[in-house]
Order: sequence, then structure tokens, then C-alpha cells
Amino acid sequence: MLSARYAGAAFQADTLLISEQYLTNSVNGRLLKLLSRVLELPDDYLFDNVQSHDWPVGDGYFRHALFYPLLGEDKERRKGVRMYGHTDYGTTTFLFSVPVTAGE
Amino acid sequence: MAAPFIPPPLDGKPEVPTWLPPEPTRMELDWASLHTIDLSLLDSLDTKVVDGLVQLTKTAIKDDGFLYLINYGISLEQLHRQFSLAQYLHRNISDDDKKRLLWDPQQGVFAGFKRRLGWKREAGDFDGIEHFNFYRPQFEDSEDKVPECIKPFMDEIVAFCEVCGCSVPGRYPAD
Repeated sequence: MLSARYAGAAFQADTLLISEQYLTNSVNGRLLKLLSRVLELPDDYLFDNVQSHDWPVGDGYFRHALFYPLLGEDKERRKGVRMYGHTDYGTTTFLFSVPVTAGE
Repeated sequence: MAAPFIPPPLDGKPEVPTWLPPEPTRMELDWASLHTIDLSLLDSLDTKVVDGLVQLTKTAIKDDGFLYLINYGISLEQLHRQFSLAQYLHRNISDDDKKRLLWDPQQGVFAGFKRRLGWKREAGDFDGIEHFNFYRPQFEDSEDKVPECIKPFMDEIVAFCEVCGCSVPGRYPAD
């Protein structure tokens, strides 16, 4: 199974236009806008106050991941668990696993 | 409305075999039923539609702990091109690049190549999980810090990260 993931988007925002473009066009920008509304805050609140703005990626990353089957002894040792519990750092993580229906 | 995502052209690049998605499992499983968040509804001019989306997201955060997003602006075909590139990278990365770009997560950053042998630079038990992780240095110095085989496709990786939200289009180094 392959998965791609993207987390902790960041860039230098030096004009309002860039902020508007970001909130309108990027997946993360739109999600931050939606989450700001869930929190009953202004649309650009999370973008302005939580998102790191270092250029080009700040603490974010993009990952190409490949999952090989766990077989035999390895499967037994890990009790069939693919990924152990963990917490991602960063504000948002996108897991693009469609159409495979699994978190990771 | 969000501008449509138009990825860079494929002209003159090596041919990349198309990634074939695995069949969905036929096992009877206790599936989590997640609420579906249609991100395109955020563009609606009808405030009721947008309010409905916000309420649904609130419910999903409270009940599910995961947000299952659809219509986020990247087509399945465009997404699967990234999967094809990922498959290409893992099939073609040289042994030399695996050594040269081996990650060192204990330094606090996961950048580079992860072997199927645990979550340290040193080999541990087999976990079957192989990565290549693109962090800031991989984009700033892709001549030196990404596998040779993926270099012709960095424009597509950059474009994909841009639409995800790494940066504003046009403000990223192209190579």
C-alpha cells in the first residue's frame, strides 16, 4: 500500500493578497478557514496565529510512503498492528490514502 | 471559488508506470463510520449551506476525531499521479542514494530515506514501512538531497505541495 502525506504547511505571507489566495486555493488554507469558523473565530485566525509562516515549508513535510505486508514472525511480533499509536506534531496532517480506506 | 489545480506537463520526462490501487478488502470489519466533509461547500454563497458544513465539521471533530474530506480541489487522477511518482521513487532509488540520504530521526527531523527497519537511523526490527520524506532542505537543494530518480519530477511534487498548502504558487524554487 502506498500513501502520501503532507503536514504543517507554511510559507512567508507578506501581503493580504497572499493570505487570501492561500485561504481560497490551497487545501490547507480552506481547512484552516473551516476550522476557524468551527471555533467561531475570524476566517484568517488560524492562518494568522497558528500556521508557521517560514518560507518555504517551515516545519512541514511531504512524504512518499510505501507499506509492505507484515507476514509471519513480523506480523506476530507486532500483533498485526501496522502503525502503533502516535501523535503528529503540527496543526494539520493530510493522509491521502484514497481509495484505500485506512488512516495510515 | 477555488482556482482549479493544473499540474505541470509530463513532456520529455521518463515514463512512470501507473500505480494500480489495491482492491478494497473483502473482510468483514468493524468500520468506523466517519462524517463526510465536502470542502467545496465552503464556497457556497448560501450561508445556510456553509453553516451546515461548519456544524457537520464540529460534529466530526467531537464524534470521530478524523475529518474525511472530499472535493478538496485535487482530482483522483492528479492524486494518483503522486502515488505513481511515489511508487517510481521507491522502485528506482539506488542503493547509493539509500545510504547517502538515510534519515536521522533522532536529530528531530524525519527528512530523507527511511528503511523498513524501524524509526531510527540504525537498523532495528522489520516494520515494512519505507519512506522518502521531503522537508525544507529537500526542496531548497533538490540537486543534492533527493534521490536521482525523482529529480525530473520535482516540479510536480512542488506543484502538489503548493496546492496542499506548502506555499503560495509561484513563490517556490522550481528546482
